[in-house]
Amino acid sequence: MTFDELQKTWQSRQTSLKLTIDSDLLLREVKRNKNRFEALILLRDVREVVISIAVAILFLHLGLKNNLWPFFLLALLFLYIAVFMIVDRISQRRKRPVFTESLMGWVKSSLAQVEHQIWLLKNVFWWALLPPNIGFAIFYGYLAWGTTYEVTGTVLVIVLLTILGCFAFCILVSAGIYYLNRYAVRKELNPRKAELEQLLNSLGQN
Amino acid sequence: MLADKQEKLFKQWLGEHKGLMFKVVRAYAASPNDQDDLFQEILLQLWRSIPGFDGEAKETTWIYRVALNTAMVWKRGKLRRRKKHHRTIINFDELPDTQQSPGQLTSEQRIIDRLYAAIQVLPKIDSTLVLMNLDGLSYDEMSEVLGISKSNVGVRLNRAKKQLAQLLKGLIDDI
Repeated sequence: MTFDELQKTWQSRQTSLKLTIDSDLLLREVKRNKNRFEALILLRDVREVVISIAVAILFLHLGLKNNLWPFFLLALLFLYIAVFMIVDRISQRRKRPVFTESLMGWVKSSLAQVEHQIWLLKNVFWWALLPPNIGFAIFYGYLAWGTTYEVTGTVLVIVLLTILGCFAFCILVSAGIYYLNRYAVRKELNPRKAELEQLLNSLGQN
Repeated sequence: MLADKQEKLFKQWLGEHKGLMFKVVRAYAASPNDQDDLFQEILLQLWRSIPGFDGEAKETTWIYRVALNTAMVWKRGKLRRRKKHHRTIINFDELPDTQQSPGQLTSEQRIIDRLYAAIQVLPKIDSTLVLMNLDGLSYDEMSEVLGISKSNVGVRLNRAKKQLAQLLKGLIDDI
């Protein structure tokens, strides 16, 4: 059989394929999926920003209520995280890959998106974990310093150990978040990046 | 674009180009469950793409782009949570060809099955090229879908066809 004959067989057999589609039901399903997909993207984009803003508001409220300046600092640092994420999401939204691009264009923009995601997660310590931990360190330091003027002896030791424990808990949570992000890069994003690079290379080969 | 216009175009494309989409689906997904999932994913992306369609690109080129780009990111076995329906949304059947004997039909079906199996083994870009070539797309159209030069299409397609001939040893003998 020649390739042309194979092509003819292919084309003739394809025309004898009967695809029955319940178009109304399909349309409903497509619209439902589209809504779910958009809700998912919105949730992903908004969730962390909303949490950061909520925490910032909480610290602002605590600062106003207790008249403690470290709370204001914490509010400011959480607000910085929210602003960072909003700016990042807006800048990345414009670069999102579009399914109607040519394959080459689509692979390039997908790769850029994955690389940015990797950068974001690898540097999570600098933009998301370090700022609040600096705030917490100052806050707990301020509390410990204040306590030394108010109590002495065993009570002071207990209070200082409690403060140290609280700070250690913050560090532990941060470490958990950090390793979770590294895991996501290793397990999800690096293989995806390799796959896209391979696709791009094979498209570029002559 | 108005919602009813979008719906009209979607239904029109579905009627005219479902065969094209199904070929991409069959080339990238083997099991019926996977095929159903990929088909729905392609249709979802196609629906989303309609507002951006200005008629500048050919409909087939546009649909090929959407279908292939979706198939490239689609993960086998990672089934999305589809709603269960009492009715079947998509059903695939072979129409009997009255002009051909049952023996001829079976042998052609075997050839097509072997062809799909070989396409699934090829590297992704090569399988895409072979698929488009079998469908009779011109070098211009293939270059537009893939975003590579026409000469690159030619070189790669030749190479892909040779690989295909290797995989279909005994079936193709002119490459």
